[in-house]
Amino acid sequence: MNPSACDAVRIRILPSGTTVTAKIGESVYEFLVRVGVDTAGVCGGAGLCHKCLVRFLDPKPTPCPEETAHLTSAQLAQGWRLACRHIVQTNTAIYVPAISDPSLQRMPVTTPSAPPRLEALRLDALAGRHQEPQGRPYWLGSSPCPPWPDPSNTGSIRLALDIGTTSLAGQLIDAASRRVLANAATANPQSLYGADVMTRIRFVQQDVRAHTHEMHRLVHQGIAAVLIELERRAGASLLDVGHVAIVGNPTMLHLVLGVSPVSLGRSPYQPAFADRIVLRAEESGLPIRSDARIDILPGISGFVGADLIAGIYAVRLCQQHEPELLIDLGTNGELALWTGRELLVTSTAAGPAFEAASISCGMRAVDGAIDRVILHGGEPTYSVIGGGTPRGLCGSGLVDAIAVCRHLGLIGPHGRILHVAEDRSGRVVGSGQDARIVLVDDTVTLTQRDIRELQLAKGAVRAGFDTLLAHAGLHVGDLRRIAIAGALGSNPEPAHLFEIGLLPAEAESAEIEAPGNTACLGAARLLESPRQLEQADHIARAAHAMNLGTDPTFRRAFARHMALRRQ
Amino acid sequence: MNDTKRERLAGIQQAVLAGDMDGIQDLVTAALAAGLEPDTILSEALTPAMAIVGDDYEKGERFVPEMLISAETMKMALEILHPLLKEDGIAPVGVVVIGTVEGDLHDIGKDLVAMMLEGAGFRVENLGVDVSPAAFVEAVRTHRPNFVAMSALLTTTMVNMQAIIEALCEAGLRDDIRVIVGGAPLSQEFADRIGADGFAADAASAARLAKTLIGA
Repeated sequence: MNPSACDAVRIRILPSGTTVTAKIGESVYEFLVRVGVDTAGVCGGAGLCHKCLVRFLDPKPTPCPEETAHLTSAQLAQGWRLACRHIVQTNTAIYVPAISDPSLQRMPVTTPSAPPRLEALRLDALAGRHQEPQGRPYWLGSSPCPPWPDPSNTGSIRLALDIGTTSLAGQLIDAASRRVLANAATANPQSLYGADVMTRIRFVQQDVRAHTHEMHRLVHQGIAAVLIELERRAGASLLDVGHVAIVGNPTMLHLVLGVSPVSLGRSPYQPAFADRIVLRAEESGLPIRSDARIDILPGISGFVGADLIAGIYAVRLCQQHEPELLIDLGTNGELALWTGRELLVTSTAAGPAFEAASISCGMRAVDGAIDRVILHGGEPTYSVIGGGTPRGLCGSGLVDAIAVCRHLGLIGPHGRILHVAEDRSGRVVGSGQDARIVLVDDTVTLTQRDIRELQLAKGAVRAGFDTLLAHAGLHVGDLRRIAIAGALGSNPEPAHLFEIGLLPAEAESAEIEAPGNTACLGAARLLESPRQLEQADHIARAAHAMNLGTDPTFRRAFARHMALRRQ
Repeated sequence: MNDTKRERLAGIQQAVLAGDMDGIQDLVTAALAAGLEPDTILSEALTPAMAIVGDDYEKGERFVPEMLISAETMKMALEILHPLLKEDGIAPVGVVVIGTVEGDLHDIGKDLVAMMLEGAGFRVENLGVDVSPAAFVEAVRTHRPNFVAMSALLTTTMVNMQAIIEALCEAGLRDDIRVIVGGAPLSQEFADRIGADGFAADAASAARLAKTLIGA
């Protein structure tokens, strides 16, 4: 991809000072994502989130109407613009503010590419297999199956990676002490091509080979950023990583391996592979020592992936004779129900609201994000990650904020913001579609649209909950334990989950756990011994995947659970 | 009609507007027991309620989640009324075959259109999502509809609408039906280009469009 001189310009990116070639006509946001510079943008360049703020040094483009509406005149005069609203036209210099830590701005600016030999191997070995999962691992690569790593000579650190549609998360664990050394996360750069899995699959379909490669490149670029951050935070070297577990939904795992996901986009939604895959790091494209072993954990169906398997293992589902449920809140809301005899799993299209990615003041769980909101003396009080000034809401903060506003009567049972004339708190501004609730000064607000996004996400998950239980012939009261997991930032307040009806009121007698990101947690734990890792294969074999999309009771439950109330 | 009957109709209308999914079926059953005709309940309680829902949506006073709750509530009422209407020989305003086009799995918008059409008195055959041209043709042969309504939410799948219209032409069915299309990336201009008879920007206007086209 070498643009010819006539359609290419040079852009200097500050503060790193690197100068990179850009194509005339692409948006500045696309350009930054392509070369691996992370902005705070979360809507994939759709112009919705107003977060991909960059500063044009010279020349400063004319502001668009959205910018005049959302930025101050001082910001505009200084050259602050939204990267997604401007196209590359001429040589320029752009300052991109660090979003959480400066090291994320030092991502490799060169274009990483998969080793060509492996690419051919993968496509030939995996694409179009459409096989039923065999429930046992197979390995990829020309060399023999990598042996079980011996921490004393091939690295003393384990790495767990959770490849989400919206976010990429990683965890480094010291193999000997099982201590977590560091956690890190970044946005999945593939969001440039759509917020959900289906939109990205459609993109791949337009040009299967080239676009699979592009999506593979983007996800590895994001993984590289997570690894750099993990290394910095842990104060350890990636060269000591001897064993890696990768989990994620099936589409993401296909793209991590560079395998086309198009079969997942149409009925009967068959993955090209679902079994566990073992390979050597040098064949994975991960920038770690070449002899490290990588296990890509098994999935269950085209919709339910290794992330849920890791979660099931992490919360020790399937070990009691009584019914238990795991809910993993993400862009796909995944559910695993252990009836006491069998394991039923499903996935619902929640959208990115639980990760706060489609929310006006949403942000990742980094410094400045409100992660908890509770009522204290009738007033909402906030906890902010890093303890500084609040800048936005991460997923747990969003759920909490909506529950608290609902409790205060600022939001009605169907999600409507109280009319400004009836509001005595002075927090409601505007009306109709433009209504919003001021949480912190003018910096953190909750818009009517934000509430709608959460309603749709919550409705989908709760409808999945009800439908799955009905299928198993169980009642909510039969559940002994409910684990509610997800990378929401902090753990949501259980009382709030009942308040907005994400969990049924009858479940209050059940034991409620909020174990956090169980995908990473479980993946790391599965690497502790070969026997534990085989548990993942067992779980994948035992699970029955259910497709709720075809279930008529699901749609009704979905509508019913749009409402934000205890029910 | 006496005042009690009027009150019952108003109560049903209110239940749909408020999305009272727990109470609606009891209200309808009670109204029938009190001697109200099924088609009166449809045309004087459910249809006006859904018209209000549609208007509120267009004015920005109601949103998709609220619309879904009301539409599903109305559907619960129709579950009781439909068999009775059939028994009474009450013909629907028209028949619509609806589906999301091949390659596209979005169903919320399409289901809302289907429910708004039902609320307006149409009989709706909902083919679901990812519907092939052949399946549309087959459904038109079976149900003999007045309308074929197609939804697409992606720029990559909206082009499949043209293939469906062509398949209907080839099957010699195109002249018997009107094709209406909708979905976020579509426009009137796109609808004209592919030879559709109508375009609706949202669920509320889709119901109005169908009524206008059929002259109801």
